[in-house]
Amino acid sequence: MNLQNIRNFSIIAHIDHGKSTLADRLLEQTQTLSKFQMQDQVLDSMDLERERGITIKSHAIRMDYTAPDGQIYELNLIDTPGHVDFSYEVSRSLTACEGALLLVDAAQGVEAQTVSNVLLAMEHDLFIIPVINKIDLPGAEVDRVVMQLHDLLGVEEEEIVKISAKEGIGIDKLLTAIIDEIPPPEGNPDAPLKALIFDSIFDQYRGVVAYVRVFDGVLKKNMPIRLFSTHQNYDAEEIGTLKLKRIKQQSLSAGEVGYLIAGIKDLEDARVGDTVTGSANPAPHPLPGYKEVKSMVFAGLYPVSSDDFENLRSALEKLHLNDASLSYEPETSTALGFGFRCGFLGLLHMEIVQERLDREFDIDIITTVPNVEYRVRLTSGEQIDVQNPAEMPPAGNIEDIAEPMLDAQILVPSEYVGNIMRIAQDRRGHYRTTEYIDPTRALLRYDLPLSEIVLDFYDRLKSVSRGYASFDYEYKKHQAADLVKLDLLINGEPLDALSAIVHRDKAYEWGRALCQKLKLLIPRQLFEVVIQAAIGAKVISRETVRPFRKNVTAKCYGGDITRKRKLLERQKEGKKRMKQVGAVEIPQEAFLAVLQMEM
Amino acid sequence: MHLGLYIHIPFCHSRCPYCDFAFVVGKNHMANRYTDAVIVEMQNRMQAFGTPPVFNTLYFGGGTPSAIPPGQLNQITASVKSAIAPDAEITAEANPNDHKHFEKLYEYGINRLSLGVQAFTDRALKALGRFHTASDAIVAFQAARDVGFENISIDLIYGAPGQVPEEWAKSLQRAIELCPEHISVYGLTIEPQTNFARRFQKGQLDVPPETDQAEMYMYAIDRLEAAGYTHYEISNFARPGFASRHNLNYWHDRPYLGIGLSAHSYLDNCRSWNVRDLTTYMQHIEATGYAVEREEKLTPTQHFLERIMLGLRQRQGLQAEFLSHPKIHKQYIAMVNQHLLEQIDNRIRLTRRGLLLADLVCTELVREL
Ligand SMILES: Nc1nc2c(ncn2[C@@H]2O[C@H](COP(=O)(O)OP(=O)(O)OP(=O)(O)O)[C@@H](O)[C@H]2O)c(=O)[nH]1
Ligand code: SF4
Ligand SMILES: [Mg+2]
Repeated sequence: MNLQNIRNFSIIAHIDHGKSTLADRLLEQTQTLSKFQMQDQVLDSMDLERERGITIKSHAIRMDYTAPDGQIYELNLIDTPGHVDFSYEVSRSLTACEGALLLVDAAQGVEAQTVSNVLLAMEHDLFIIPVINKIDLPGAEVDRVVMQLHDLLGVEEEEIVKISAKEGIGIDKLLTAIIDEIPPPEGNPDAPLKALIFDSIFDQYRGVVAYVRVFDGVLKKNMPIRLFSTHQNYDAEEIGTLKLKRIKQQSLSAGEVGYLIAGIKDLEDARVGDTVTGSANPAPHPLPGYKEVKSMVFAGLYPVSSDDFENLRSALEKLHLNDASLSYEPETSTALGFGFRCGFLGLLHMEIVQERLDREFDIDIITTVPNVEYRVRLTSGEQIDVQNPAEMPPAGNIEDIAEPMLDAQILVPSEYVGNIMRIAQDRRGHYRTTEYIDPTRALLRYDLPLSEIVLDFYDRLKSVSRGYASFDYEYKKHQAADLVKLDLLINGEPLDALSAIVHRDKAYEWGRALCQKLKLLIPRQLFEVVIQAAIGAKVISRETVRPFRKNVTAKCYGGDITRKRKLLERQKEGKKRMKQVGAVEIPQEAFLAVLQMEM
Repeated sequence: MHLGLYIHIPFCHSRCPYCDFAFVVGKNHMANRYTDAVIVEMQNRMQAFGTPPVFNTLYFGGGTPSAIPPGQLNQITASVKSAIAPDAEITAEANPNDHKHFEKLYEYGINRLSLGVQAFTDRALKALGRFHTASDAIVAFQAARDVGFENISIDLIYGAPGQVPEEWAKSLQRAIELCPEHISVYGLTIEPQTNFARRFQKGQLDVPPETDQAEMYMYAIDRLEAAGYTHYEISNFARPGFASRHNLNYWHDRPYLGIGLSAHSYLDNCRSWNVRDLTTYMQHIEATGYAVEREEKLTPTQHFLERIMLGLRQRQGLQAEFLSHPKIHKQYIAMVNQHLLEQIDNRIRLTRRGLLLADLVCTELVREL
């Protein structure tokens, strides 16, 4: 295909502004899918995406479009996820493109991820087509959004395309804008091959399927290829373009987007961001890669039944095959036995993994409270990363502890600025700037410790702003803080799974809230249960669960026996689901107590 | 085959606020029709046996069997007369206010009366929502003796709302002074969906603290044993030779036939129970002759669980072999070390402390099963 007739673009937007729905309309309008194949958000192909109505993975698809002037264009579209946990997916999709459709919901207006997506697109030098979506909504405020986009991008009203993805309004105009305004790819088909892996998936039968954007040269079927980062050589067994299914092709040339299957066994070997070149005539330099995806939050995953440990291992292995951003390493807990410390992109990612383990693998798991990764400088001069609070070295050996800090932006109607500032203060936020994206909407920037937003921050933001605040962040750096390890003791024995690293100023409050919550969750037993929170040897909070003095059924006659036995059966099953710490039985909910703590 | 026979009479004079039995109030005009239904069910159930069974015990429970004309109980007894062993224990539960019926009951062959007294202090009786006084109860007891009953049991409840241990001691003392052959002592239980449960949830029911309840229970054991009663089951005490044969039959895992609404049967390792609603029961019987709602065949594990559960409730305990089961033994040892279980000769039973915590001990013991 002539480069002049290719357009590569992503659809970016704040969560739920209608990206996947727009993709549906484009696929329809270009007759890429038949009526028969069509369904709502057709690109959201995972069960979880369909059920939750959100996009988790980017999806690339090629459309062949005959423009009104009769010319045929190849349009490569990438639908991206909106949720902040998956923002790295957006950023890597953008590297494969020359342009981006920036969607804004006409009723919601510009939100936090809109702003950060604009910045991302600019970083990648992409041409941005501003699009106002959902103009069919009764609550649409098109004029206000036009103004916001004007302030944000410096665009005039005529440059903004107004559509309803749902009703199919304005799609023709948008296609024209895509062709007229997004620059065609540049690149030299005669130069040595340079193709960027912008995504990869694992196919049970074929191994790794790498999604590539060819920048220079031609990728031909059966040619020997090499990956820059590993220097490994492979044969390009199959290449092709992406429709709903893979369509085999003989070659992909500069400017084109497609897939590559080359007998690569492991996702780790086909790193996203790596460059593919030809073994015979290799390019001298790789394309600029990306920052590596890093796990942001960590949690212990333990099988409820210790018999399930191996099943859990193989389930995590399988999930990891398709999701390189999920990391896991075996660990042991005195309370929970053998399990894994897993790293996630964020809480939504963690929730999704939990759900898949439950649903696809049918394994009952206990998840510990998520935490962040600490960088600890020891008095010995050594530096270690701590992903599990229980493994924090004794205070005496520590020079300082640094925690991950975020560059956070909160977009909120100005009347709620005070509320938001109060919460940010509460969460140890460091105020940086305020900008107004229109007269009534403020964009606050904060440096915020990641650990402070892991639990319920987003819910709090929403609740103090009547749902209007939106929030986005990016990891910035690790920064030292006055952090202490808080231990939880049950009848004197540490419950390692509930250890936490907290700021010294918050330790008392945390300890008290945790002890009180546990008191409600730990059932009464034969003996007294003492719950303590301690920093080192110093107990800072204490609660007790009184023992049973009397627990005996009064009557057990002929008509009572069945009912009594059934109760016994239920209680005995309940016990199997409890974790034993010393002699004390602790229900699984206790390990999640912190998640529901009102602080 | 020897069986226990249970017959349920659901009619009551009034609704006790703690009660979750199958009972009806203000429907005594249906007693006739109900009696007929019971007789029909009985005949049908009897025909299902290959060899005719022999009933060693017969028990009219309720509800309040004394609330309906004694002649109706007699019709029921008469309909199975030939199957009742000559020395059978025949019990009827009775309300003290029904003492005018006692003479007839005795005449019709009832030889054991179980009196639902509940308390011998008027304050506790009122708190329990009962409609008789302490002196009514004493009059009723005397009446039972006077008409010839030589085996009388008294039911008492400890832990009534607002009850303090001293008040309980008084009730117990008055019961002992009457010299009944048998005394049952039940801790008040707040059953779901009762009037007490609703009041409890709203914080409007002054249930004695657990420590007081424990004290009352322990006091009862000591006081009754001192007065010559043998503690033979968690809640039951008897003078020698007067343990309830009908109830022992349940606890010894022996078969029984239950007739009437909500009644349970246990035959051939299979437990079944009848529908719980009065009209439904009668309609079923009248239409089909049967009113079984469900039945369950006990799996070996379920059977084992029941035997442990029932064995532990008896003061003679369980045979030691039971606890040598590999999935129980470890917990058993732990329970012994915590002084919750003890071995006496070849039997294992709850200690005094264990009695108070019997349900927890039982669950802990079988947790691995
Ligand atoms: N009224 C109206 N609703 C729309 C329009 N476009 C999308 N929606 C609705 O908005 C919701 C979100 O649409 P999606 O297409 O899943 O949004 P998304 O941006 O892909 O969401 P994420 O992938 O989770 O970020 C769905 O309920 C759509 O039906 C529109 O033009 N008008
Ligand atoms: S008399 Fe007995 S069966 Fe009837 S309501 Fe009272 S406690 Fe229940
Ligand atoms: Mg989507």
